[in-house]
Amino acid sequence: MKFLLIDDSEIELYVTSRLLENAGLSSSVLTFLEANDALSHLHTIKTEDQQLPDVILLDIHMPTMSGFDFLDSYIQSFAPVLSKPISIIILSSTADQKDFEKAANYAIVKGVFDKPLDTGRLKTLLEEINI
Amino acid sequence: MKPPENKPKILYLDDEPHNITALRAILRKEYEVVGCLSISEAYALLKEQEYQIVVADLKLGEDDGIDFLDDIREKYPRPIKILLTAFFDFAAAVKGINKAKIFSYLFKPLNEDEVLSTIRIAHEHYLNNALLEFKQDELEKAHEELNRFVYSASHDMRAPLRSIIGIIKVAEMEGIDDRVKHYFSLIERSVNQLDAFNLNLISYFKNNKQETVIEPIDFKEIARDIFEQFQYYPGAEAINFVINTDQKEPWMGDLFRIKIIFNNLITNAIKFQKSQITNKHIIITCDTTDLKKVTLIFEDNGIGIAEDDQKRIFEMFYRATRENSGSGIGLYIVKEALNKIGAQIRIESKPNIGTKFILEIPSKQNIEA
Repeated sequence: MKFLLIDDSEIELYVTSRLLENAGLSSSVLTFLEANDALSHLHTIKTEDQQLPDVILLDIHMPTMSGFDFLDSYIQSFAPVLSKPISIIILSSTADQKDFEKAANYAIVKGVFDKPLDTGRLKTLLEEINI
Repeated sequence: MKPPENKPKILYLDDEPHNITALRAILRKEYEVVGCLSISEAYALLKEQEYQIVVADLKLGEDDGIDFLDDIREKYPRPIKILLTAFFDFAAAVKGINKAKIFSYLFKPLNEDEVLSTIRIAHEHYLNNALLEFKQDELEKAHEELNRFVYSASHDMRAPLRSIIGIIKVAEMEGIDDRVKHYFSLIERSVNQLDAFNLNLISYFKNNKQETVIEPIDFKEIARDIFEQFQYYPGAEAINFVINTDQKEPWMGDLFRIKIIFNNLITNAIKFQKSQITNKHIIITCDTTDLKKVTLIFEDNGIGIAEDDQKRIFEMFYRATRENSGSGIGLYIVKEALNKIGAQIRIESKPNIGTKFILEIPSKQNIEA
């Protein structure tokens, strides 16, 4: 399974990548420190199903483009031209219940996870949504 | 060039122009006296600028100076009000003090020394009030800033703490020797403690801020969820966790604050178990037979609380024991949350036997009814 991770912390990107690989969940992991760069990358490969990720793990609180900003742009400009559905999962250490509620209100958000990533729970969720 | 003089301003309402001239003559060195002959004129002047003192004559033709001073109280609370009378009228004095909250009286004919000293005292009073108001604003602002600081600091601390837990998880997955594994588990425990403290600070802040939202509550479900969440706590898996409830329908209440209360009482019961015994238990009883309130009992057979400590455990940062690594904020937050929902808490505890917290939470429908 192909993962794309967006988080402004390099440590988090490293930890989550290793957790995914060690749990045997990922065939490839692409990481981005800036949500903007992730979005541009997705645009360049939008027609190439083979290269598109299956799952995006997205942080919420990031400078310049937040997780919510990313979701809004993604829905507006990217999702309509996409041939293959990508599951977006929020991975954040926010302690603000409102963030969770807001995130859960996005139809494209398939799950909201606290850090560090619980790979067991992720596996169950991915099986449920059938990827 | 001399800067323009900024004398305190006095509004003087009197239907006799020569009285205005007289008062202005007495006060001109220290005060700016703005005179007016009618109530409507006085209102217009009050609208234009702030006066420190308002002086009104008792007899204003058809009108009454006391009624005027009473009338402007709400809209212009700051100016100090003084009543001017030609003779002492007991009824007027009572009405002036009780109704119009007059600060002082002046008698006609005006005595220069008396006028000056009365006006000076009134002005001082005005300045003290203004200072108090300013200090109060500052205090509120400082309090607000402190709250915000605590809130954002706790939030910012959380991210790196979760990173540390993540790194430990990766290390454990990738294989480390037993000694290092042991050290890592100690680090993990400490970090989780710090994180729990952080989350407590955040819930303290939210308890202060958040409006009450009434939602359906299932006490058993809340208790179960919290107990499961704290399974990671060393020794938690050996505790027999029992919930006795007669609740059949959702109970309407402040779910957010009830969760704070359950969270702290249950985690305390988990943390303060006796380490040697094998029949550890936590029993939660929920009684909803009284429609006016719900009675909740949190009982454990843990280390207990000495009588002297029982009075103090709800104080901020008070810790009754060195054992265990509490910060002493949990029960303080419980108390604050209980206060917000008008609930009572009682404690029965004996060292080495166990502790019982008895809570009574009034039901929302009855408060409103």
